[in-house]
Amino acid sequence: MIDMANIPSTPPNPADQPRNDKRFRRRHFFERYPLFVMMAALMLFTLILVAVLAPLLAPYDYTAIDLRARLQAPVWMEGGSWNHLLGSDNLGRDVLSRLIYSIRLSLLVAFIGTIIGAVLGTALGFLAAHFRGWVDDIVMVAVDFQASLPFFIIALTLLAFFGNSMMLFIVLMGIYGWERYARITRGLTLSAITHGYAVSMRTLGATPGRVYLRHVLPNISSTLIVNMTLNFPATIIMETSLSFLGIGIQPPMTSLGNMLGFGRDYLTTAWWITVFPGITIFLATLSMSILGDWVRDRLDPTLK
Amino acid sequence: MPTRYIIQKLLRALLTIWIIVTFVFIVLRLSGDSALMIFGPDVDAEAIKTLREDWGLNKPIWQQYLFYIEKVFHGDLGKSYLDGRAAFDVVMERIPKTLSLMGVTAIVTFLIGIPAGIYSALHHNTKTDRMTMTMSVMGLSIPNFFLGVLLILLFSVAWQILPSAGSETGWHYVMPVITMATAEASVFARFTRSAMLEVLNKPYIRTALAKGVPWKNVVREHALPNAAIPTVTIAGFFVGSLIVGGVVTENVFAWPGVGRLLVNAVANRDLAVVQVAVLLIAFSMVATNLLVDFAYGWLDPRVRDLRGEST
Amino acid sequence: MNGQINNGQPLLKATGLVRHFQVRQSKGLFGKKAVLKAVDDVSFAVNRGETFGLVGESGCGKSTTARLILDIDKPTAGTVDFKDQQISGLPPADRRQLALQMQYVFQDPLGALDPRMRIIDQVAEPLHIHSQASGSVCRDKAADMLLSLDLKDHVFQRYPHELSGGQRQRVVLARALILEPELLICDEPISALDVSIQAQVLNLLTDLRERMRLTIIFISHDMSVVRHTCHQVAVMYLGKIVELAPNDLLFQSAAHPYTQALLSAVPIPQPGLGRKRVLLTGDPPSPIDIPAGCRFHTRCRFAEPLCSEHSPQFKPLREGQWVACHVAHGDT
Repeated sequence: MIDMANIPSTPPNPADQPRNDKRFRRRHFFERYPLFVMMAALMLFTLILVAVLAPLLAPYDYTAIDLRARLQAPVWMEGGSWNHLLGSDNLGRDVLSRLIYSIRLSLLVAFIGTIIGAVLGTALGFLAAHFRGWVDDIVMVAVDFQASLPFFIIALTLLAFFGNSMMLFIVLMGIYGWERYARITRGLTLSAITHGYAVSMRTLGATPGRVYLRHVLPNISSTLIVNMTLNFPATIIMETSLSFLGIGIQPPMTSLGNMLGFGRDYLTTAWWITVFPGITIFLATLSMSILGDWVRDRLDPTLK
Repeated sequence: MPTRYIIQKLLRALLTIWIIVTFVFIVLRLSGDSALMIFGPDVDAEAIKTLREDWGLNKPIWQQYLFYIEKVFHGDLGKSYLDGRAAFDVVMERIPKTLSLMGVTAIVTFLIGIPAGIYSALHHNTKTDRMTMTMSVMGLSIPNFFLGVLLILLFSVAWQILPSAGSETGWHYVMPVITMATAEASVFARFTRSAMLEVLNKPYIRTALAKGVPWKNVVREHALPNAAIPTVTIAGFFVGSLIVGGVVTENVFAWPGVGRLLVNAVANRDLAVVQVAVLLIAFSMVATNLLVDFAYGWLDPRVRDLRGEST
Repeated sequence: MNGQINNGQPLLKATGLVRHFQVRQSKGLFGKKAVLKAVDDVSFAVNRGETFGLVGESGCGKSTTARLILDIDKPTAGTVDFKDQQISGLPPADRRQLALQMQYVFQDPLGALDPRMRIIDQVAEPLHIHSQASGSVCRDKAADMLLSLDLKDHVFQRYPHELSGGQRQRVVLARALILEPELLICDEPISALDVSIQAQVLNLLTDLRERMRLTIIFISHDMSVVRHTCHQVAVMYLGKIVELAPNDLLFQSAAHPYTQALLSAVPIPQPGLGRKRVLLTGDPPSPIDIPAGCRFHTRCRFAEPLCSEHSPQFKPLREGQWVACHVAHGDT
């Protein structure tokens, strides 16, 4: 017979049990950080390091011409020398140095572009959700327009009409993808402000600015970050594609894309000019994609 | 499909077209003297004056705008200064080659990408699944221009078994199609897989199995049709992706299509051609999205019943 | 519970509140436009120190009324006075100051809390908003508040989704009360909770009301709960108040047929007690298409011809009890 007196009046609440977190976490470290992901992170870290330390790492200046050492093969092939580890191009410029500086420029452009796009898109998304009315209409029309044409085509149009300048190019990379941030922010903000904690915060007396920055933004940040991990490799591809076609970054500046593009003419005689930048682009995009996938998997299911 | 839905989507498409045309017009006006732009610096002063009047470039801006819209509808957008003929003709004659490349790529993409995705989903978390996913991540990480160059290096330079430029024979299609289809098939594989997985996790699949329906039938009659619906939605992106991929690929392989023409025109600022090509691409995209909307509305009964807004 | 606590001027007064929504009736781009009358001329007064109940079925407009009072939604017409000052149409900065005096508890405690903030920080947040006090001072005050609501300190560092429903609702209460408001509006505060927890939270509310000298507006669809806690009760139907009376008068001699029907549906824990159930016929009308005359006449068992022609006035039947019904007033 069950003794009624010993049964507590309320059921035990699992939230009241203390947890031993630390031991649990240590044991499952490698489950949470698979090998591929670590390798991707390492790759990306290396690339960033190269970009940052470029002047220290590059044996030559990227414009240093040496007509006596033209089209030299990489060191491990016949005709190569230790002077030019990865060979030299048609003007005798060191491929390794140019590669290093190209990594720097391409990563920099992609990074700035992603940040600009994120800030611009998120701000516009907030404005659209907060003010509604015609502000919302304008933003949504702009979003629709951006989504109706591939950005590549828009970029081509603007570059054709306004001529190619570094300023315009950076702006283009910046606005590449803003519409996705805007859509995400607007949608999530709208659902937050119509019910839930945003309304509570307003009732508690918070200004709209505080509600957005301290409450809404941290809650939507994981989605935005996931979008950034998609946007970054896409921006690299966009920049390198345009540079490859000759309408992106112009000489004397060197990017992974335009190195590849110029090397195309020497494919039969000096394949290294195209292959090394190509591999670099591939590795950068691949590691970013792997990391992005992992970030997305981690953030989504644990979203509270 | 309710009439209201059709009309709504049509109106949106028209609105988008109008915005795009306006955008091109604004860019055109902002970038300098249109007459010089369109007709090139070689035309003499007298002719420029006539052309200016012909295009109404002396009139107030809103009149120019209406003029422009009229011109767009007639396809009369100036002469290519590189070529000498009307820009419209120059672009139009290149379309068949581009379409054929896109078409073959699309077929290859569907034949490889979709089955791969479905197979992966059905064998979730097995070695095959993981391998396919890894391959597809690599497939869409490699920039298509690099892949193209590598293929040329291998098949044209090293082994000399495939032609690297032009489009005369069937063999000319091999490398460009591989270049474009690799990324596209990878995207489709991943997308189809996640669509299938999502459907397979739905309660109605479990119910069908519990009822005793054999697995094969469940997949064929319940899973696949429902997974097809979201797949339709990426058709719009797919076309856009084909267009962009085509532009770059045509360049790598000297394929005589619209893409190659466009890049050339951009590099040389042959603005009449740029205008025509861009507007053409824009209209195709809008048309594709419209068809996708209609297909989606027809396929998904929820959309058919899903009504508009209530404030 | 006996009659009103009348301490002079009412703390809150709503006068002629109206909230109409423009909607499209048939769906799509070209639907017919119609007006949804969510709140249609609602007036009442809440006295200091009492618990004022606002009851009715889902969709009768009680939540919308609360939103109008709190300025979460703007009234189409009508005014709200708090402590004899008009608060509808206040500039935003003044409205934010009002938060120190008037607070709100939601029906859904999980939705009301920021999923990414720890409990202690959420309760401290109002203090950060309104005062310059340092982080640790605010946190201490928040801790005191939580402890006084019977929440143990191991809960402080948790996140909302890690708590039980009852705990969450207490956190929401703590957050609302930390500013020591004079008026607390509770919108179905216990509906989302397990029955065993409901009683606890109710008792807690009563306790707090005594301790902090709160005035409470209690919105609910549950008549038995309202009977237990409220001094005055207003019954709403399709956007209008149909009956307003002190607790004893309402529950012992309800005058409006709708109130009678609601009361007869309340289960009484006395097996074998036969009771005549008042069953309402027909479906509740849509707030877009309100019946002419008395809006309840389509389901009323006492309906007279007059009821479908003229809308009844809301006037006093006897001391403290106001009713809007032709039959109750004997007008037919």
